[in-house]
Amino acid sequence: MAIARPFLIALALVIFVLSNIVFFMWAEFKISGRVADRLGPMETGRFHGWAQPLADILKFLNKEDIIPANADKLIFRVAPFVGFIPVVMVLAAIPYTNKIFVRDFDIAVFFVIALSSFTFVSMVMGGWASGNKYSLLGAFRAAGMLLSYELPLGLAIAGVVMLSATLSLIGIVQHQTVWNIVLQPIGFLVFMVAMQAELQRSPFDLAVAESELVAGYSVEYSGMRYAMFQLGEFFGLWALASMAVLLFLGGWHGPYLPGIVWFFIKFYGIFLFLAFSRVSVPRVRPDQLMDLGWKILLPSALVNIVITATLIVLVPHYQLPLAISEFAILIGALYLMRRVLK
Amino acid sequence: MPQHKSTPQLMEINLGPQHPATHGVLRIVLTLDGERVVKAVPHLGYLHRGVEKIVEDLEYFQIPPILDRMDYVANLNNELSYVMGVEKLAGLKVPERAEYIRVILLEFNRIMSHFAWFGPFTNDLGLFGTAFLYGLREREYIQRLFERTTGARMHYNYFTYGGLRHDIPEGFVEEARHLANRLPAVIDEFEYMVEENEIFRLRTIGIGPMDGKTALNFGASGPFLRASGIPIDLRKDEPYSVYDRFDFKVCSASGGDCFARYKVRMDEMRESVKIIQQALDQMPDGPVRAKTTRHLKLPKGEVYMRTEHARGEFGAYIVSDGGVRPYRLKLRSPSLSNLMASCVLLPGMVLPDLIATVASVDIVLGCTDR
Amino acid sequence: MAENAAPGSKNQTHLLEIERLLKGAHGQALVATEVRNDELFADISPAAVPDIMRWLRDDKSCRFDYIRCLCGVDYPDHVTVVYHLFATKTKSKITVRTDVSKNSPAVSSVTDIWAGADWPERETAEMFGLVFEGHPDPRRLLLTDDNDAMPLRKDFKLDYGDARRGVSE
Repeated sequence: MAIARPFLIALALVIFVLSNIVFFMWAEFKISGRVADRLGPMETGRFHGWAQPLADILKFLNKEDIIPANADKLIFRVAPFVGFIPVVMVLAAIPYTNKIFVRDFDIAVFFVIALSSFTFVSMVMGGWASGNKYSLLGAFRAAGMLLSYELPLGLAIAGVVMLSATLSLIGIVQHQTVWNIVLQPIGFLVFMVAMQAELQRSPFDLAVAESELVAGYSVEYSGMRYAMFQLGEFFGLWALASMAVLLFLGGWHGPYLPGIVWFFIKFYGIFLFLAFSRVSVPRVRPDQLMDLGWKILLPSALVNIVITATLIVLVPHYQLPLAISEFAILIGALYLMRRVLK
Repeated sequence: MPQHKSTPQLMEINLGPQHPATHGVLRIVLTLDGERVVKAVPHLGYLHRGVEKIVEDLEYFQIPPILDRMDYVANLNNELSYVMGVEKLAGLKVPERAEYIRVILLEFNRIMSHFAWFGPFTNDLGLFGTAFLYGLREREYIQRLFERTTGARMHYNYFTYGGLRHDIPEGFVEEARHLANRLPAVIDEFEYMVEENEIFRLRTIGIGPMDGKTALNFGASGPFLRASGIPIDLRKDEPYSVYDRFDFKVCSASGGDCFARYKVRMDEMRESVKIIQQALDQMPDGPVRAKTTRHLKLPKGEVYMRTEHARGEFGAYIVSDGGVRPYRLKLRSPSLSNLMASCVLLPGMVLPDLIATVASVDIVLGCTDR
Repeated sequence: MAENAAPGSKNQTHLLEIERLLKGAHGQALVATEVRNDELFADISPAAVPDIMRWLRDDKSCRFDYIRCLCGVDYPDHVTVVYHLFATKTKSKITVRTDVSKNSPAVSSVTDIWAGADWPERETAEMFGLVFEGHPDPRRLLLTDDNDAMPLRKDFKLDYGDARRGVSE
């Protein structure tokens, strides 16, 4: 029994996350449908097309796995797994409450960020190995994004880590008597933007870019290998949305309701934000994306770190001054940007 | 061998004929340096059906259905040039009522065409699927009116020399007025949807700018030319039908970029609504068709009739040898000239801008290829 | 119809003026001219195409800066190339026709005068088997690269197969 326990936990976790992901897919269909003045799926499973994601997965399983003649066959085959397996491994590091978690890593933050960037590696591998020019373009867009968005993402978290002086996610949540979004608004904004880039969601879905690169890095993929990329994206969403909740929104903290409920309320709040932002803005151009990453997000993240570090060292009760100065800088910067852009 | 100066490795890539953003079967062979376009060679003809040859075997009354299939988004506008050319050559006088109904339908058709442009344009900018159906939804309401009037949803075959095939159905005026009254709010909604969007502005302002002189030199016309700051509109410059009786202004913009083209089309739809409302108010009673024969014989001669199509100047050059069939019918397609003009913009752009620029020109391949 | 074709109108006198100037400048190359329906028609010899076209664009009184349409018409012994020009300032129109013999089907390209003649010339060339001399990119436009037919010539008959069976000729 003792041997079977970790496997059972792992199985339960994956089933739980997978069922949530099926719900994500359905919710995305529905939200993007309603926003676009459509109904979304209505037939499969009778009630508002609830079974559509399941049907899609079954369809992918049934499809032929086509490997192009001039593809690099080994890398082409391996690439989806390179993206998929690490993001599933991330699940082990994410706590849902201080009682429900798989493992409390000392370096959980680092672990999650490191593993979730494997998605880009798999994109570059898959896109380059496909032997297709469109997928090659998609792959190199992905590589460019990897370079320019990992950095702000990591630096945005650095401020939080400095505040709580630990890399353990449970430790970070327990330390948040005041939610970090109040103390680190700049960090939170940078994290949210970089997260969307990391997840390849519109407006940053450059590596897929349907109207430009047909389907970007995944243009030659079919069947289950293609579904792996898609599923990997949703697991990544799970991981990073959880991270946003844990790092900035106080994790399971909240009045009256049990912790796990609070966690998922916040989690689905983030998910809704992502689902709506995906369908409401056009795609940016690669150079605009780089501009945003290097000229705005990275300096903001650095400013955030400098302020946080200075105040932690110099002021004993740093919470109020930190919140005030961060908000002041944020509002000032937004106002200036608006003036400059107009 | 150490090399300090790196020569760019160029990549040749085939954009189309099956590509989500080429609106049909346009094929552009691109030479790319990274994502920057070094050379763009368009290849046409994937939709070439030989319309100009087919019509030489048809009698005059048989031709409008073929013309419907050219620009399949603004069909009635296609029919008009030809029909007016025949009328001019035959000396037919069109009843006043028919002229008014023509104008109403033409302007509705123009709005439909711009709606059908708006959705795919945002699609190509990456707003995938969101605004698409808003455009098509409004188009659908107008299309229902057209279906009730002409009996068809797309290939209307409604204009004929001497007027219209048949009179408008009962309740047409009320329905048209209702539609025309709701349209300004709809156009506002579209503008609200995209115009203040930071990314939309980033992707359109200053992208694919064309100055008026070049556009003119390339024979561009319609919203594409007007967006470059040259307010040429055949409805005003060479008024045909009853357009000189309406109060409307020619919309133009100065930028010549994608945003200006978008803006010109949006403004133009508002003007179209104004024309429709005035035409509905002024529409007289009476017959809708002049007395003509089925097997019409045109006198020997030639005529070049041009009208303001939703996409620009649509011309029909009819050469008659005195028989029942045209000796030659040349159709001047606005899409062709506009596409030709936009193709000089492409080198030097990055791929996403190329997509945005081609989309902003508003081409219909059925019309360029004929 | 709102066609203001009244004789003696401002446009009409302007066109007559252009006709007079044209006769003065290129009289020997003109075959016939006519002002009809508010439009000037000029038949010219194919050799004079580049000169006259350039003159029409550059001369102060003409300024035909816009090429609306360029096409061919096939006749038994020659192909007529028709240019429809438009002056955006004065809103005057001119139709220039030139008869190109089928024995030497070559006419000078006007792409260097109006860039807009580019694709129409390519199309006319492939449809009528003409050669536009000096065209920068003389590929086929609509037909496939291996198609040598000249579809818009009258001796090219459409083969309808079964499609037209039962249709009275």
